[in-house]
Amino acid sequence: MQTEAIRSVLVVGGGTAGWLTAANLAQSFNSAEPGAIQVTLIESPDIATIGVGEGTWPTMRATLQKLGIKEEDFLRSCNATFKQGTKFVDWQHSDLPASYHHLFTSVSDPTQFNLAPYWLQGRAGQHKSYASAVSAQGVIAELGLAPKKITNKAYEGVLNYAYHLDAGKFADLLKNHAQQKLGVHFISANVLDVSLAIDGSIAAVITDSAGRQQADFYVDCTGFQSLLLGKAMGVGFRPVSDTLLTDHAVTIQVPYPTPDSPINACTHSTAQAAGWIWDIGLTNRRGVGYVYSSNYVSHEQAEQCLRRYIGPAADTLEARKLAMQVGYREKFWHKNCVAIGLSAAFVEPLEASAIFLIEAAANMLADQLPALKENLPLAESKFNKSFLFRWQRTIDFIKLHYALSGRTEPFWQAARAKQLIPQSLQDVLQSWQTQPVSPYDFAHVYEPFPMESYQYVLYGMGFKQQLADLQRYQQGGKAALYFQRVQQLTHQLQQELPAQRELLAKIYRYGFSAL
Amino acid sequence: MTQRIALDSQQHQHYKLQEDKLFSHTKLAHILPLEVNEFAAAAAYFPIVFVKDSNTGQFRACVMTGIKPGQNLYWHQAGWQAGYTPQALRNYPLLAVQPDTTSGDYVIVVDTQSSLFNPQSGHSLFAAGQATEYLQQRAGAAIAQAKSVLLTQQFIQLLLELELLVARTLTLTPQGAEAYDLTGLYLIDEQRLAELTDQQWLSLRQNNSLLAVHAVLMSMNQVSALIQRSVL
Repeated sequence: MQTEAIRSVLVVGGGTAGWLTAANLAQSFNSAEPGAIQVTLIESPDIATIGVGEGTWPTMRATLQKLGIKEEDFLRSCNATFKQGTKFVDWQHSDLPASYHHLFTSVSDPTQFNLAPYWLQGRAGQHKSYASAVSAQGVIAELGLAPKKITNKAYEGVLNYAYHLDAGKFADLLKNHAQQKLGVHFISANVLDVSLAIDGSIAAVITDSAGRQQADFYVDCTGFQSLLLGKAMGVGFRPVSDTLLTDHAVTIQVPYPTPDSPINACTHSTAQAAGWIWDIGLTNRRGVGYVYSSNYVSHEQAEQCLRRYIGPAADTLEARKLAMQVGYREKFWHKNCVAIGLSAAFVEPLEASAIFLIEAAANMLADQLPALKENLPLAESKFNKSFLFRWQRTIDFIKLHYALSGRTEPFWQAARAKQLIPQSLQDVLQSWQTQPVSPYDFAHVYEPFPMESYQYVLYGMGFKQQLADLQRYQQGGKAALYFQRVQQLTHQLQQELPAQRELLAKIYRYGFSAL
Repeated sequence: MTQRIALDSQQHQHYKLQEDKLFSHTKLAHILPLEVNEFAAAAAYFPIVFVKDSNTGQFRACVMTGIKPGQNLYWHQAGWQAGYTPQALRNYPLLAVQPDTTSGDYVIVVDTQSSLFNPQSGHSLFAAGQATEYLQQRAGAAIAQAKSVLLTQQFIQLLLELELLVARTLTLTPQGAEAYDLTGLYLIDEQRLAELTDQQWLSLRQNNSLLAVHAVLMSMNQVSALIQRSVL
């Protein structure tokens, strides 16, 4: 039995995680061809999906392209818009307004040539923010401009970009595409039970209307329930509520006042007394939500806070409350089952990690699913090691935003208490007080957040870095040229790039050229 | 900047149309639109290239008349310097558009920024509320152009489907000046053309596109003629 080949994969659960994984696997296995590994997805007709995230990372462009989805079809069917980073508002202080950008484009890849030491010495100008010294994108995003022009190819940008999307519509698009183009089999049924084999692996999934479904390998995309990995196989959950304090979200969908209202070109994240509010612009509405800690604010107060943020437009709108299980499974892959999405882990959506880590997990599974069952333990250990690292680093990166805040409310004081900061983060923060951020701080190939992301947040939050040995930074002339280039680009791109809505209207009409 | 409005027998009853054999409106244009039914005639005088319309991102066919923006080497005060004049130039400032593609009716619009369109001198457009014979003939030419635009779009669509278009950067070194790149040009890739399957080749023939493809390839000889012209 142990030398059997793996010829079929059963994805249990739809939503963004299920369909993105099924589509990715089927595409990688060429499942539409006879004789290829079969991918089947079971989705409950009765359980609504949570819609984990409405913001992606730039990786989504490569993912969609790989799946063979046209960019214009994706944009149109998901009410999607271009995301050029995140604007963090009021994260530094409670009483002194300030904001900064975490962007996707920098004039120089800091792992090749790090401009930060020269910026710190004032070479970009005395009162220039780090983001506006190294990137034109902040100004472009503030103006609500698109990262590309209609003459650019599909998935190609003048500036690097990701998307804001309607998660429900995104799952629908993937569901159609996966079935029609990629050869994914779809079963609409409720899972009643999961039966285990003697060795503790999954033997079958028992459904109400499609009987017993068996496969050689299972993917658990059942959301917070974690029916397969958590409930049936008993893999434990490791909460990280001592590190990341938020545990609930209340959300409201806000229609635009007029059909031509401008669309924000980046996610807005505004700090509040006991958490922060996200504000994401789609084509037809904004998605706004308050992520908070129920230990520091009541649910009613949180909803009131969100309504105040939205203004009078919120009066007639309904709010939805979500409880968040923040943490990750002790293992993501166990025997013949891997959990992807909420069933694997969840952290607050501060850096749009949810969809991004689903893509990463699906990619690794597509590449690493062994041909033979006997090689499962090797793949399992590799995958678990990789994703434990990625989740821990994601947690560190989110914690960084809190650790550097000077806000005074009890929630914020608790959120930056030193004993709650992971040691790995404390270590780098200590070294960064006197040394620049270094590529050697990010030695792992699958580092979820790159060096430049850390720099945007560190310097945006006003982290005090006093570089020792200034004579080590001798390339001031070269740095000055880069800073100058950013100013030129900032000016030039303001003239060239269209407003988000203007570009989207053209895309709906003409599409993008593949060339 | 062009500003187009529909011709109206009431509003424009006193307007006239002048003709400009010099095509002065193209004096600063280094590319000019060309339609597929003109390729064979134009290929002996200009390089035929494909560019993306900056407003729509859609490809269109053009002749190159200069080797840098702002330069038209075929414009001269003594007269147009080529044996062929693209129809878009001849029809200017008129253009035929189909506001409603289902009905198929054309509306004649005019670039009101053009001094050729004025109340003082030229051919009358309307008489007693009716289009004059002159306007009917000019409108007919504009409609013929609009119809050939559709044919050109179909031709370009076929080139895209067969992946025959490639982006090319022309690196030009004018005498005594720094080399520079002319970007945003797309050409037919001869290599790709040679690699077409029989079936793909047949699709070109069935669409009456072989002549146009070869006209584009032959027109590439005009690039050196254009550069020659630029140093004269």
